Amino acid sequence: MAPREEDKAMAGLLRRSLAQDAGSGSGEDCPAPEILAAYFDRALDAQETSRYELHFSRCSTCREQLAAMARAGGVDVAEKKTVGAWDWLTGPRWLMPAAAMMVALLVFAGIAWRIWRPVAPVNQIAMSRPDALPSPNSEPPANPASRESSASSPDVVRRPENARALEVAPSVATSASRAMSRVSHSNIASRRDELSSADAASAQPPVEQTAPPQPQTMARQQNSEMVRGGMRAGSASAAAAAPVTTADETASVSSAAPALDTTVSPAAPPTKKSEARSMESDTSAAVQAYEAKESNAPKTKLPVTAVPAQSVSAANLTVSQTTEVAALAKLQEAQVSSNLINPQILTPDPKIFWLIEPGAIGRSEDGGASWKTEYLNVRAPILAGAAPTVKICWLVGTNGTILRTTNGTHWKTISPPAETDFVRVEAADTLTATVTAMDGRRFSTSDGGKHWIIAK
Amino acid sequence: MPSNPAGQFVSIEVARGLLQKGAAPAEWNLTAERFRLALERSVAHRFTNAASHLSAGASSNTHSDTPSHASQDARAIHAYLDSLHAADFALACACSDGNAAAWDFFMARFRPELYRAGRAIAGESAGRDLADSLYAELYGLREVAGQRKSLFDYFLGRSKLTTWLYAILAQRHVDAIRRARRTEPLEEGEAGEHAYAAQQSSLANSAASSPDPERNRFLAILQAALTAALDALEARDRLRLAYYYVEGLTLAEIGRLVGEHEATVSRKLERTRREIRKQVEGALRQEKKLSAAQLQLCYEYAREEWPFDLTRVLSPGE
Repeated sequence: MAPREEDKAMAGLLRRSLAQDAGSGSGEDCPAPEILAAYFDRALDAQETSRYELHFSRCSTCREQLAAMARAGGVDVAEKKTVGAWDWLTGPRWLMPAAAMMVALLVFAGIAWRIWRPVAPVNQIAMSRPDALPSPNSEPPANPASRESSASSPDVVRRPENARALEVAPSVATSASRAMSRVSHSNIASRRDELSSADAASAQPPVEQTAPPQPQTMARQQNSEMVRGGMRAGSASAAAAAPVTTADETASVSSAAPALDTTVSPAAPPTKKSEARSMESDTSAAVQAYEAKESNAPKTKLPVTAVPAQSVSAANLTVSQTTEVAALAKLQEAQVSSNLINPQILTPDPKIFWLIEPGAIGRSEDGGASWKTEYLNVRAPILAGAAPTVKICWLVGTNGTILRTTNGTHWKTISPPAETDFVRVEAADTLTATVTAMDGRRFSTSDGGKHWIIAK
Repeated sequence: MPSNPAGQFVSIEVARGLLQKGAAPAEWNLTAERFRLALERSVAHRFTNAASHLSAGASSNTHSDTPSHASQDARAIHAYLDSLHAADFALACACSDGNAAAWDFFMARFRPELYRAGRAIAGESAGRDLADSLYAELYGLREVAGQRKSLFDYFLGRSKLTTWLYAILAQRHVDAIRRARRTEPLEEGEAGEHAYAAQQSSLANSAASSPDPERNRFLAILQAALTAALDALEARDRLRLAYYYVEGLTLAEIGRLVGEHEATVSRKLERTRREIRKQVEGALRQEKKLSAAQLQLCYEYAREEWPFDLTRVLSPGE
């Protein structure tokens, strides 16, 4: 059993062992609510605190009450923090320093704007990488294909086929990664050519389930459905999730949507198509099978949420859960264990990758030989991630969960564009990312999540 | 505990000062003497409890025997009074007295928060009922010896009134859940016994059909080692683990409870888990003489769900 598996086993053991005394605590010697409240407010002295903590560590009744108080007090604390922040800013004692800081910030922002303005868009940076194909004609900046292409460079190394290979032979994985990188750009180029005319005129949302099956809409719909399909492709293979993100672009536009080929200018060179096709066949047979299924099957897509429900029952998760949070952790554990989501997030460095765990994220810097776990301050299951560099990683999950680390250690909660479940993220750097909601909506940010725009 | 010649811990001047600090409106009709009595009750509760705990450990006359002790106690009482939430305490006193203006103030200021906390604790549907169930008790519809007994009488000012309301809500909610847990098996009756018997037989079957006859023994000794490791933990370490693994709290919520930053909680959780694992593996290797392969088997078996406490079931003699 791998060290990672042993860690999981130990976590499960701890959970079960600690839960076994859930019925303990008679309540006779338990402190009164005013003591719990004083403990919660840190109003007890050190002696009282240690004495009552000893009791709490053995008494599940008190722990449950304190846990309920913590949940009740969560928002209140946040609200008070906000109020306190405004008071701090508006207090007369700080008025002058605050004004001085504002001026300094304005000056700095002006300088920064001048410095940052000439920087090329992210997609151009991505295409100007050494392994990228020469950029053909000019492309619209708001082109969703280009936006996907810019973010697909990290996705290229996310394919679990490589992830599996990485554990065995990192050098092989590296070469495969480069190969896939070339495929990605060839796909991007062919797709850009094919969609150049269609996307320029498109003003419809990317996914409209009830929209008439216009060729262009169908192609995009297939795209987004394939993206979502990637999330549940684990039934065929855990490795299917990431390849879909690269292969689907070609499949959905060139082969899976013949109507598009006839209506949209077929500007893509056949050599690129064939190259992409050959690489697809080289990378994963499971992906091909999935693509064929997707292209032939009627578009009766199940929401992603329906799948975890099955997986929960399949995994026999009927152990009594005292809290909704524990159930969510179980849910994600079931999702990960049943390969419904791809738990691995690869980085450009083949030896460094992340692993999504229930309530935590693991990081290995030696090809999976050893892991470091960071517990995440979220209850919602994490469903996807993207690591454009070895230090930067974006995570998305249910209930509007978006997290980001810029140093590989500390995770920051990013304010989401909508309180919905996010099933995919593409990131180019610490500031630029695109998240995909379960309903197909896509949101982009170029300032680290401070502002989001709907991606077409 | 020191007291003035009138046998009081809190003088009327101190009470008046705290009442001013609390800025209680005049329409609450809260007199300094009424507030002093409430402060006396709070001080008595705090220091009587402390004295009882101290005397239980040292069985010594710790208070008021010497002038130095008296002055120390006076300082402790003064510090304690200074730490009280005077405004909330005054409001609780006025509400306990049934003052309409105070009640209006309480309802306007605390009712939304009470409902929000109720929803956070008991869920969207049951939360409002949980909060509503408190009002009668807070107002004091219950009478003891012909006198109205308000729940506010139990508020001693040591915490914010909001936090105290959280604690009351949490207590009611947990009590209700535990009552429900206790009554469930009784309602099931024979069905529960059948389920237990089925569980027993399934365990026996799984033990019989298991390819490794040592499976259950490995699981039992692994759990025993783990229990021993958990028992040896510091109270706060165990508390963190229980909050995380059993109560399902987030790191921020745990940090809020134990007074640590969430990054600290994360780091200490990881350290505790690592230590437990080291201790368990050491015990299995050295005491139980398990090989590395057998240890691996233990982990593999442990990944499967344990239906119930195997240590109890597989203890010697059964």
